Amino acid sequence: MDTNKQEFESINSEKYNTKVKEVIESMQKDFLDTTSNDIGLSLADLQNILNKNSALHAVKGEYTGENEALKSLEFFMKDSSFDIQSLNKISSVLISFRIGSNYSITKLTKVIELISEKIDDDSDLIWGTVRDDSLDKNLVIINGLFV
Amino acid sequence: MKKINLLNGLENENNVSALLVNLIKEYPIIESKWKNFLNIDNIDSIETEIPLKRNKQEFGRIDIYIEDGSKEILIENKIWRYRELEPSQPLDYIEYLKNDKNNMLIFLIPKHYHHEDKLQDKNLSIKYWEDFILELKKDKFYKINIFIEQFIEFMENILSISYIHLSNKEKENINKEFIMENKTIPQIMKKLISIVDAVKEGGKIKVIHKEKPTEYNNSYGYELKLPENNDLFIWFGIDYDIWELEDYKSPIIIWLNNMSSEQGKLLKDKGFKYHKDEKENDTMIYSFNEDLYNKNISDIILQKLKEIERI
Repeated sequence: MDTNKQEFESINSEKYNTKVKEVIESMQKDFLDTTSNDIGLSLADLQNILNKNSALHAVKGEYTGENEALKSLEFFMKDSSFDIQSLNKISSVLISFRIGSNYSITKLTKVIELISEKIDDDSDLIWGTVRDDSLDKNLVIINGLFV
Repeated sequence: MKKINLLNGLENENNVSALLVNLIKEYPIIESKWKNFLNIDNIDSIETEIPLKRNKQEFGRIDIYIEDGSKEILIENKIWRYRELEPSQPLDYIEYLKNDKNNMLIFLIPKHYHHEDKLQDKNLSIKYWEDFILELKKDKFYKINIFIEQFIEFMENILSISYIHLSNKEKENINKEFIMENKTIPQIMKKLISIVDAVKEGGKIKVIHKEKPTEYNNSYGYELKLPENNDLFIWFGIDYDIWELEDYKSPIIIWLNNMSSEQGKLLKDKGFKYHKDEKENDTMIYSFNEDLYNKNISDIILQKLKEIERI
């Protein structure tokens, strides 16, 4: 884990705007908190998206209640310069879902489907989960990077 | 309607273990099919990536760990036919479980797993992914849930990496100097093309374009699509000109250029040879030689490509 920590901390988020920086840092935390039964994102996944020479958009959201995963994405995109309609211009998506320890990963399907439908067939969509015992069972926190 | 793939990019053993365990925990019918498949009565807890420790001694990390109240069940998950065992596998696990004969060690592997001969031990049993997928598909319940349906499809894709391979007779013919005089050549060429296509299809490899032989070009293969920041050029397939050369003798190769000197060093360690192309550019070539006649050749090529992508 120490090696992972050093590797993740080696990513310099300082050169990005505040929102992107915040999402990168949250993702770094998510990666390090990955535990048993999580679908883990890797450092290479993060580096790949950061190394692309295109505008980087960040989405950070959380929602609790009905359709929480989908709402957490839609709701916070509304307030962002980047919205769902812009997804057709995107070539890579990286999303980390922070969820409660008993949250069903199949409930994330709608979010992944929504993004998959909008992005180009050749675009990459990589997602992962991190379980957090302290979270309310219906709360989903999304950190997403879109290039 | 656009085909959605929920699980793209998750093709590694840890993620597959996690997906499976999440589905077992969530759906009683999958739990029931899993228990039936493993021939166990009960699951009190099931977790992934559990470090094994006893009396301060460490015995590695097991992919799937099950407790059923009276015993421990360790499951090592392999999804790729060519993936090596860790040097300590399976001995560390056997050592960990040795004090209780009720405990179980299971290797969950694809059929035709390349290292299955190293798993012949009375202390472990082998189960095949293909049989579990058949169990999951038995009564079509999976069609009610897109996530489960896609998990099955995703695993079938991984497991379907082709078994196309060349026979001993074809091996002899490939190595003959006057191959064009040989009547088996159409069949050999068809198989070679199928092997290359199986790597692309089965491995879900993103490619820029397919290259077919033309008047100016003596090759059949694919150029890989890499991240924008990666200048490496990777091509794999059949190259007739290289096939003729004494140094290579293999119809199927991986061809690289635009590598940095640092990448060049790493690639050399992985068996690539420097080669000057017709314009005197530095390129690197990997030829499969004896592996070409392995029944897992598509899987071997795919693993090599994955290694290069990580450089």
